[in-house]
Amino acid sequence: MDDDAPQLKSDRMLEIVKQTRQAEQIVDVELETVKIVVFLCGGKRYAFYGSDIREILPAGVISWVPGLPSYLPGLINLRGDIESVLDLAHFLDTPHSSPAAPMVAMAVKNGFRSGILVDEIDDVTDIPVSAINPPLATLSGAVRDLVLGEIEHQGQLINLLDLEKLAAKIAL
Amino acid sequence: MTAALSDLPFLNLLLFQAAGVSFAADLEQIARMRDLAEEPDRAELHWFHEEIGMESVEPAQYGAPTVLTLRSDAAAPFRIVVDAMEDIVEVPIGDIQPFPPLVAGRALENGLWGVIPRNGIMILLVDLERLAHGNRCATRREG
Repeated sequence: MDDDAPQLKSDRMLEIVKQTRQAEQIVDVELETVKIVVFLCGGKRYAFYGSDIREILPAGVISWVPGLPSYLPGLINLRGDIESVLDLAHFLDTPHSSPAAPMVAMAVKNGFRSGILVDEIDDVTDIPVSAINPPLATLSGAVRDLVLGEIEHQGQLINLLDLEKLAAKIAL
Repeated sequence: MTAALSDLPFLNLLLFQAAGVSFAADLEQIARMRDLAEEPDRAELHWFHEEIGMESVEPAQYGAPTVLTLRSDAAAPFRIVVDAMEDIVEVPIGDIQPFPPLVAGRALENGLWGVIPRNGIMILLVDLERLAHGNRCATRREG
C-alpha cells in the first residue's frame, strides 16, 4: 500500500484504541491497591484494612469472664485457641443492635490481637490507595478518634478505622 | 531443654459453678470442704461471687453452698463459699491455656489465671491463694 495513501478511519480508530488501552495498562500497573474489610456496626458501615484482619468467623458462643470491662464481652474458642472478643460498638458510641448472626473479625497487628465483634461483614474488596481520603475535619463523636481515612464504597462514604488507634484506646 | 506439653504433669482440679460460669481450683490449695450448713463458724466467711467480681449474684442464689478452707499455716485460714461443686478431675497442664493478652491482666486481678476448654465450655481457673492474698491486702488497706 502506498505510504502517501490516506489512512483509513478504522486504522486511526484502532490506533486510538491501542493507545488508550496501553495508557490504561500503565495506570493499572501504577495503581497501588489495598484490601479492605467492610462491616456493619450499630447500623453503620465501617472498614478495616484487610491486612489487619486475619480471619472472619461467626461469633458463636462468647464465654463471659467476671471482672472484665463492658467492652470485653468474653472469650471465644478459635479451633482450640482461646481469643478475647472486643465489642467495637462501645468505642464507636453506637447503639447496640441485636444482629441475627454477629461476626467476629480476628484482628492482629503490632502486638494487638483480639476478635472484634461486629454486626455483619458486608464486603472484602480491593481499593486504590489513592481512593483513601483524609477524614473529614468536621467528623465528630467517638469515631473521630479511630478514623484513619474516608473511602467511597458502593456509592457510600465510609470511615476506615485504624486498629492501632483502637489498641491505644484500650491501653489507656 | 523445654518439655513437650504432653510431658507436663497433671493438676487435680475441683470443678464448681457460679451463676452458670464454670470454674476450677487446684485441689492442693484446699484443706477442707464442708457444706455451709455444717460450718460451725460463719464469721469471716468470704463469698466466691464477691471475691471474683460477680456483683450481680446474691448468696441466696447459691444452690449448694460449700465452704472451702484453704491449706495454710495461719491461725485463721481463708475460707470461701462456692456453689454447685461438680467434680474433681485430673487435667494435664498442657490442656491449660493462658488468657489472651487483652484479658489477662484484668483476669489475674480477680485471681483468674487460665482457661481449660472442655466439652464445648470454658472452665476458668481460679487461684484461691491469690484471692486470699488479695483479700488480706484489701483488708490491710481498709484497716
